[in-house]
Amino acid sequence: MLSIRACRKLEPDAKAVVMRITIHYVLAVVILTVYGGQV
Amino acid sequence: MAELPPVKLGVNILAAYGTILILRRPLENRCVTSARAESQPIRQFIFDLLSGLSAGLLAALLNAVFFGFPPGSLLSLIYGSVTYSFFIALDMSLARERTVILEALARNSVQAPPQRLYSMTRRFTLVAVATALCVTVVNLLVIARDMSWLTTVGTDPGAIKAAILSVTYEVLFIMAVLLGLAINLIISYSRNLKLLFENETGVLERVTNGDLSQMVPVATRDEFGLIAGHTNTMIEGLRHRIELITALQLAEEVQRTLLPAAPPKVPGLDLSGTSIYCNETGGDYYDYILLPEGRMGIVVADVSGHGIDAALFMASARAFLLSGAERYQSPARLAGDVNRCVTRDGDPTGRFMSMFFLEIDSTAKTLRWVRAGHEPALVYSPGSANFQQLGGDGIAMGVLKNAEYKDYYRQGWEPGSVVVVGTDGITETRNAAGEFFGAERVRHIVSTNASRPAADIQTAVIDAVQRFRGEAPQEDDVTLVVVKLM
Repeated sequence: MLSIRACRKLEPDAKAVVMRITIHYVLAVVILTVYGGQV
Repeated sequence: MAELPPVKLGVNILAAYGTILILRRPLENRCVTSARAESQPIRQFIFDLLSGLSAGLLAALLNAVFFGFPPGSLLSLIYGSVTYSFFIALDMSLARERTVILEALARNSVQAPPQRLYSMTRRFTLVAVATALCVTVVNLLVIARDMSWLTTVGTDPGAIKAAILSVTYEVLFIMAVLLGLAINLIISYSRNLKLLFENETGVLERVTNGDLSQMVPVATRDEFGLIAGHTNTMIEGLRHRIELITALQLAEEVQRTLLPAAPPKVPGLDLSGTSIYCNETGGDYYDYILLPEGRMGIVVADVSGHGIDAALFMASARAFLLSGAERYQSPARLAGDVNRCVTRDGDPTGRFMSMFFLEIDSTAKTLRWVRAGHEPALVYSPGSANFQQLGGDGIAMGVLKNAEYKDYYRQGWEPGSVVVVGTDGITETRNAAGEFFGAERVRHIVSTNASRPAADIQTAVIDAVQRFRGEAPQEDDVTLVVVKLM
């Protein structure tokens, strides 16, 4: 059983989620620019 | 199309994804995070898939307007966008699920099994099939485009070499992207599984160590949620059983107080008695009652059955007996009074009770008794080394309201005579082979220990009964009172 403190420590905060989706979108732009638009 | 500089192509795609990224946060709050916790992961998946589709459509629209993209390239761009969005949606959905799990762990509130189950295996199959289809279609499109392009390369060895190198880089790039996405999903899913396993095993370890204070938060609607819910049901059941056991132990303590803590000191008599219950509570009872004119009353009773219901019946019968003893006249009158009360109370339950009541007048050296369906008492005379039964007629109590009881009388005894009154739990004790302890063994132990104090005789009989039973379970309560007449 995880303690509440451990939960808070592990909990992905909103900033981390924003960073995650931003990285995904940047990668999407790169990949689609290089190849996606041409396939 | 192929000649379009990457920077120009990227501007429109960047503009499309940037727009969606800006709009994403408020829309996500409205569509995903405001929903119930258990439906947030699936909503997150749909939301990100649609966001990716919207970005792809917007990018295609911009490219069509500004660069005049042909329909085939537009569809390719949209398909590429949707495929990548599929992986984004999976990753974000797993992240959302992780958030939901952690919140549930922190709150520790939801504990019932999920009403509707979304099978983990079914979800896994769907995701695996969809992933395989996406990857296959991407590869087919790339191969088709490359094959078409290679036909235009010509026969120049330099151009062919450059084309082969270009295709190789392309394949490696696609493989690297797909591998990266797959690894990311595996890590994300593993983290969720780790959380769920730790959640379950942590509580089960506590339960194993006897700590039932923690429940497992039900964080998902899959098999993990089901296991967590059932674990909580099990913990509730264990808590309830422990409460019952505690209540039974308390009942045992209360019932122990109904039995005499120690025999009274009566001139001319050496008394000893004990009851050993087969459950926490029992239906056997014995007592010493001081009667008028210095006489001593010995009562041994046995309620049918054993356990908490028999104990309650015994407690009420004891109250009737002690109340009747206040107006004591004779054993038979007392038995009649108690029988009327017990019959009234016991009639709906069908319970009954056997009783042996012995009145000892150590001054006049007389024994007077009544037998209500109970085992006869034994009197051992050491001088003649023989046993006599204190028998007689009398029906068990609680059967007939107006049953009549009869006093039986005996005058005189040899000094050192031993009176033994017990319940059938002694003679009917069985060993592992199914043999009964029997009355003969009781007589033998009493005769060989007759010169010892009453407490020693009682201990000798009880020890012999327990040794005889061995590993076999105790099937009935055992009660024995020994009186040594001086």
